[in-house]
Amino acid sequence: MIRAMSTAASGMDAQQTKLDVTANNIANVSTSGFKKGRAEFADLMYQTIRAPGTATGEGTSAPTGAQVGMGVRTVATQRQHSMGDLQQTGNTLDMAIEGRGFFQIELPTGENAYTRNGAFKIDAEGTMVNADGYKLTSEIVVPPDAQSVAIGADGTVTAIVPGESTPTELGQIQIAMFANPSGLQATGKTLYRETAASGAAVLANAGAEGAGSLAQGTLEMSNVKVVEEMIDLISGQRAYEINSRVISAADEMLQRTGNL
Amino acid sequence: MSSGIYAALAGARAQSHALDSTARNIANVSTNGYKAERISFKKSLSAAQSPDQKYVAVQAPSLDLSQGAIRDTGNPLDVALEGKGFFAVQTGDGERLTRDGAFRINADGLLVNSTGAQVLDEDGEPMQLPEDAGFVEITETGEVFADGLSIGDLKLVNYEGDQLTRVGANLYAAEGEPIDDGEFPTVVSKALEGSNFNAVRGVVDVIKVTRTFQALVKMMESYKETEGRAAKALGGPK
Repeated sequence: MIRAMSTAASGMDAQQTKLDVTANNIANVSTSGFKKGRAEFADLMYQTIRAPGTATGEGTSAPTGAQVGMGVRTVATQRQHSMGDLQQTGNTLDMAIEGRGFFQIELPTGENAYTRNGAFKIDAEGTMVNADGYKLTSEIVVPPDAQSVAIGADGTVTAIVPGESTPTELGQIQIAMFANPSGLQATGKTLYRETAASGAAVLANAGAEGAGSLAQGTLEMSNVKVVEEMIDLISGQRAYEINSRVISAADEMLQRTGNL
Repeated sequence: MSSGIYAALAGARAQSHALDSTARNIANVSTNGYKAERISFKKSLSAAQSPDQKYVAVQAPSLDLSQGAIRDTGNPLDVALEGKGFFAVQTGDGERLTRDGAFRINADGLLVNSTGAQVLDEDGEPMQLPEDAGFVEITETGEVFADGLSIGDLKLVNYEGDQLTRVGANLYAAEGEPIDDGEFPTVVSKALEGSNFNAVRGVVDVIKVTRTFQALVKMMESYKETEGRAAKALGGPK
């Protein structure tokens, strides 16, 4: 009976993790480039009291074993790297990756981070930075007198400068790809960091070698679907309640035994 | 002493095991590919009431291998099985079976499950994906394609419930020979199989267990009372 209690407690813990993940997904429903998380569970180690096939007498053996499990645990909170909806913003420096890959961003510490949020801006020096002021590693400096900036599907950035008849090429945006994007570590601000599980970043020009192509004036929205999250929220809450019910049932049974 | 009190005690013990079992089912209501366990109430109770056996041994819960609900996830590496059978994975302890198809690619390009066990192909080898695999597709028969090229088939095996031992982490160890009837489950890609345990049944089970337990405790109480009275009448301790 004590076992039932701790088993149900592990169940409540798991459902709480599920609610935490769901809450984070819902909170980020309007965050560009956000990838929803998903909690994954696995049953806990089983204690084998009697293994199947154990001899029960001469020439006979138990057809089934006796096993006692300990509940459930959270094994992973996996990121779902499915594509979010694309939204037209008309903003010159907004871009979305259509397909696979990430923008590579340089953190102030000198390390690289990766993001699908393509809302870029220009800082005081004319360098292309993200909303937090972190530079794109494919450094692009827009001249102060540029009349317009164009980003090609292949990541080539060009600007029209007064007095020049042909557009000036400013640089090329490269896309970073990972063998296992689900293995990336989320660090907040829709940034991800490379881990041993994700594999090393492979850089390629946009639209080449399997990398997604760029769409200027567009942003990738969050891939969270509110209806799905609401269903998870409701089912998680109910499962939590039912687990707590097991605890009160075990408590009641113990109480009755105590009063005997 | 009356033997009835022991029969009630055995019954109460069986009910507490049943609650443990129900607790495990409920705790795993959100676990992918989880198969519910069932305790046979009838068996334990009839054994308890038979005159030659007053104690009930721990009844081995049987595995309910019925289909769990399949839900779409949109993730190309998620697969669910429809029909009887299991995926085979390689762990440190040898080959294990699972119905949890939330797979991913590890840093070495191997297809692994959520705890990192390697998913096996038809020949029993780990499923290796090419390094630059962009789009992975898994067909109904379990054939894996990376960027349109076939890489191999997922190993699918079928066993009876009583050949399987749960080892935790959604895995089963199998004993004996697999069922070879040529029938294979359908692989549903971009989907996961949920637990086959229904939470509503869980609530009903909990109520049933607590009520039966109460009745058995009541029985023990009345035996206690009867025997107390008998002792008094016969001049026992006052």
